[in-house]
Amino acid sequence: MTNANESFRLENGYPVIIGTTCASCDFAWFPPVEFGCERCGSYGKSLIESSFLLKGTLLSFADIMPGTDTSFLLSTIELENGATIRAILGCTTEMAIGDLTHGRIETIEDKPAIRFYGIGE
Amino acid sequence: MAKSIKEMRPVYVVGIGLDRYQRISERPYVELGLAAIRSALTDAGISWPDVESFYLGTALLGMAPGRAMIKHLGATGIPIAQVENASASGSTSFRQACIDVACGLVDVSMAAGVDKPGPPLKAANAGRSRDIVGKRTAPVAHFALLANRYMAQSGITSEHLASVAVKNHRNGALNPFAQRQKERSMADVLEPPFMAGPLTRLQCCPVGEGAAAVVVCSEEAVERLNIDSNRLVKVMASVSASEQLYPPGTDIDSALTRSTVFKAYDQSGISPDDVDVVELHDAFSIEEILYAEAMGLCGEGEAAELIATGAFDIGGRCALSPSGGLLAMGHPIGPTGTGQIVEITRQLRGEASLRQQPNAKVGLAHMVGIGAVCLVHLLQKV
Repeated sequence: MTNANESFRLENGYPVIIGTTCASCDFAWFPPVEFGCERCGSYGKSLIESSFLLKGTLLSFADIMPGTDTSFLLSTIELENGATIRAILGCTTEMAIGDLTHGRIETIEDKPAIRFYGIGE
Repeated sequence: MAKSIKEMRPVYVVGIGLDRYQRISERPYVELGLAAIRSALTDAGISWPDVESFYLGTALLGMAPGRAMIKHLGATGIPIAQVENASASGSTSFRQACIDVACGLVDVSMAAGVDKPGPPLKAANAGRSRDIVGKRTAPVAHFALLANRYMAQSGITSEHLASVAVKNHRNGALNPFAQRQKERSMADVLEPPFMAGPLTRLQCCPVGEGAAAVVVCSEEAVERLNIDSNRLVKVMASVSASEQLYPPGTDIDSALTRSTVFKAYDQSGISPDDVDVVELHDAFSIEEILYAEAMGLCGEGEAAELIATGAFDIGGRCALSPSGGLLAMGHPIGPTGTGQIVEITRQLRGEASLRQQPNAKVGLAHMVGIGAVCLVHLLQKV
């Protein structure tokens, strides 16, 4: 299962996002950008497309445009590999900053999308 | 060996001018800019032919708006350049003017800013990146995430956060150039709609139109042009920096502010305790709390309570955002940083009327811009 622009997919049954890892310094980031490593400046073959497991720690979240039809929960998550991403929370139970979280691929309005949830959800 | 502004030729702010920040109108940008420039020239007591270089801070007007504006002052053939540095465009134009004078390239330079709101084209988005949140990370969302995290860590309340906007609207109500000139109560500020997280509408700055201009010059020009030496304000530090790579979870905006401000303190010999007035990038209420702490104006975790209890009011230990800040004076983007220099100069001259911070001698101007950049200037009454 992959989405149209290949920013995430299922690998061995686990959802992953496709980021970039620098082979020179191990820095990892998402979204994937292959122009150069922000930490060490390496480029070209040093930059490797990599799969990041959707497991991490919730650094913050906020209700955006609450009370409207377009309201959503935006979050900042530090993944286990150190990459920090912005993602949408789909959780139905209360979460707190510092909680562990995991992402799933879901179909939202007929399109595949990533949503993050608390452990156990 | 590299030098700081303080080690070069002294630079003085000698003229200031504004065109009121307001909602978008039918007035062309040329009219806004010329009004601010003519006001700054009058304030300095000099004429346009005395100005030897010109920098225009603008982020929204497109290519080459400078000559089309200043030709109406009389085409003197001076070097001009447009400066785009996001929200810090006006601060950067001021820095460029200071550098021209400090280096001895010219004796008199002008920095101006003018903008009218429109959809910006963000070059940072042109990298073919494949995000998973689409266009859902507007600045307000970014700062709502910071606010919620700070509130969870520090235990401050929504009222603490709102007290920033209450103070800054109170200051803006005293400023004839502010976009928002109405005092707001705590209840007003906390009233929905919430734009993101704890940030209500009045805790987010209005982005309208406006213009600001500042004349800077050398000691030689002060004498030659008979500029009033009793109204001189000296530029003690000018520091520009861009974002570095920080550890995961770092509040980047605060970290960048901290390193930039402390470099300015080092350059000038000024300490946080010396600072009497501060104009900072309070586009969202949480920013004033974060930056006051990053600037060393108080300890970590103390700013919200100090703001709520009046320590940073006009008349308090240090006046934060006496102009009303971005929250009340407004944030027309290009002019904002130059407008901060106008307010601080007014304060240091003792000409701020009802907004006057008593006995103000040292002022700090701070802007951040998406991208991400930070500009800090320290000014001192001569």
